[in-house]
Amino acid sequence: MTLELRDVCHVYAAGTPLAVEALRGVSLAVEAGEVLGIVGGTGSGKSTLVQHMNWILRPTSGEVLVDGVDAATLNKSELRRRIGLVFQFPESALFAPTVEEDVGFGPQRMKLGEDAVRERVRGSLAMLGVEHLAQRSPFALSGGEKRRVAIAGVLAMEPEVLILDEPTAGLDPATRQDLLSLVRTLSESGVSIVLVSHDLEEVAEVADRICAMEQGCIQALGTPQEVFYKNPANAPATVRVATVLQNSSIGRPVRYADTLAALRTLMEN
Amino acid sequence: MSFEIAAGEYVGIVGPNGGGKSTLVRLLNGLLVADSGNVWVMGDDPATAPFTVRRRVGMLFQNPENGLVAPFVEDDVAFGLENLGVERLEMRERVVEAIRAVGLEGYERREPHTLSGGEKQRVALAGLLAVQPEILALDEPTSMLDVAGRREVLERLGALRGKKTVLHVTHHLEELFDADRVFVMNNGKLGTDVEPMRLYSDAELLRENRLALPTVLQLALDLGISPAKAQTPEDLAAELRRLAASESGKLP
Repeated sequence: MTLELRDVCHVYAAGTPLAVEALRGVSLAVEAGEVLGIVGGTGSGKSTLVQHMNWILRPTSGEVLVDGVDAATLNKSELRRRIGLVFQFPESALFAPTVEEDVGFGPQRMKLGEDAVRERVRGSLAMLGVEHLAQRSPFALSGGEKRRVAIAGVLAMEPEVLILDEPTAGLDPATRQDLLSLVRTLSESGVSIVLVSHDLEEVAEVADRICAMEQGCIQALGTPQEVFYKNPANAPATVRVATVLQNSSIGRPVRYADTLAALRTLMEN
Repeated sequence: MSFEIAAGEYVGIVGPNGGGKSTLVRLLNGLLVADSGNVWVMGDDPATAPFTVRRRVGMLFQNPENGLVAPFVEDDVAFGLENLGVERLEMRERVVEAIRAVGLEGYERREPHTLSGGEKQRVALAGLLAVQPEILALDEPTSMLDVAGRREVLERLGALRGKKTVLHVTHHLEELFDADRVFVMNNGKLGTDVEPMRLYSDAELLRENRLALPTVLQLALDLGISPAKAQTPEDLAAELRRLAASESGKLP
């Protein structure tokens, strides 16, 4: 699926003295199967931007196009099934008595048969490594487990685009790594991923393209190499080290493994 | 688990989710009570004397939104003092001083909900400082902040080093660069008590406890460079350059 935003503006509390212009003319396409990282400081418009992608927010002006069709004309529940959005702190939306029922809620609403629902629940819990929690109450889990169950609930609807808004905030490093591997696995299977994060290091590891937001506008859009080397002051540590060295032999690495290899070569020569 | 922390120490607490870090912090001021064993905070048991202990232990939590109660910044900072019945004149002085200590002069009449995450967390910190606790217990105080907000809060916490006894729970190991020691907690136990530089250079210990180094320190570890020379990417780059220069100097 191709998802496109054309010149999208969003004003919160429009027409009141409290009006805030959160997006100021954003145009962006999410290509099929890519991992698009969205970075930027607090209040730069990241969350507002992604909430337009499945029509949770409507643009004040501008258009959202799904495979070229105006999202305003599409069936909204079908749209939100195809474009799954995992909010910040999604664990606050867990509600069912057991993990299995919670994750099964979406597929059940899609009127799948009982077996198909069970299959989907098992599959998405397994992808997040929490299948052993199926019979537990979601409220008696640790923070990291709750987060994974909540994400499984969206995956169970088998979205074509998965939007993750700060999915790793507050997770321990190992759980974070697992989640980033899942992002890679899903994208290899053809799902497009939109990953919002203020952790530049993690975005650098998984993103095919980066969209850097600033005050409601796209400040830079391109490959991690293009975006980060254009503004190394606001780049992951790998890019900052390589930039200070300014050594033509190490090139412009972004990912950790590439950077380490380049620095090793430098030290050996 | 058993441990003792001396006055003025800065102690980091790290470990995986579910390892017991937050439980430990909550035992210190009687928010939770130990099933067995004893907790002593400056000679008092938080389970039986919670009010005495809470005046001495200021707690800062992950989400700055949860701690702010008043309509204006200065009222929020004064809230703890009002509960303690501090006299008005003294209250004014303490509020002014606490706001200055976190660098929020000029924000007195701002409404907390209009502030950034980092600013909110500093308001919460000012509210703690106004009560003049000897001990600060910080439970992931930066994990919900962006890069700029984290830097702001860490700068203010750094300035308290030596003046207060600090327990700092975090997943960001680089925040503990200047800590006196670090407790590694896993499975409800105090696994290890180490100096930060030793923790940063012990790959085995890190792996066992599912800890991850920040990128710069990980690069230093993988390249065999001392973590003390890799506090920032710029430091690491300078060290690499120095090494490259001295290597080529040795060549005939």
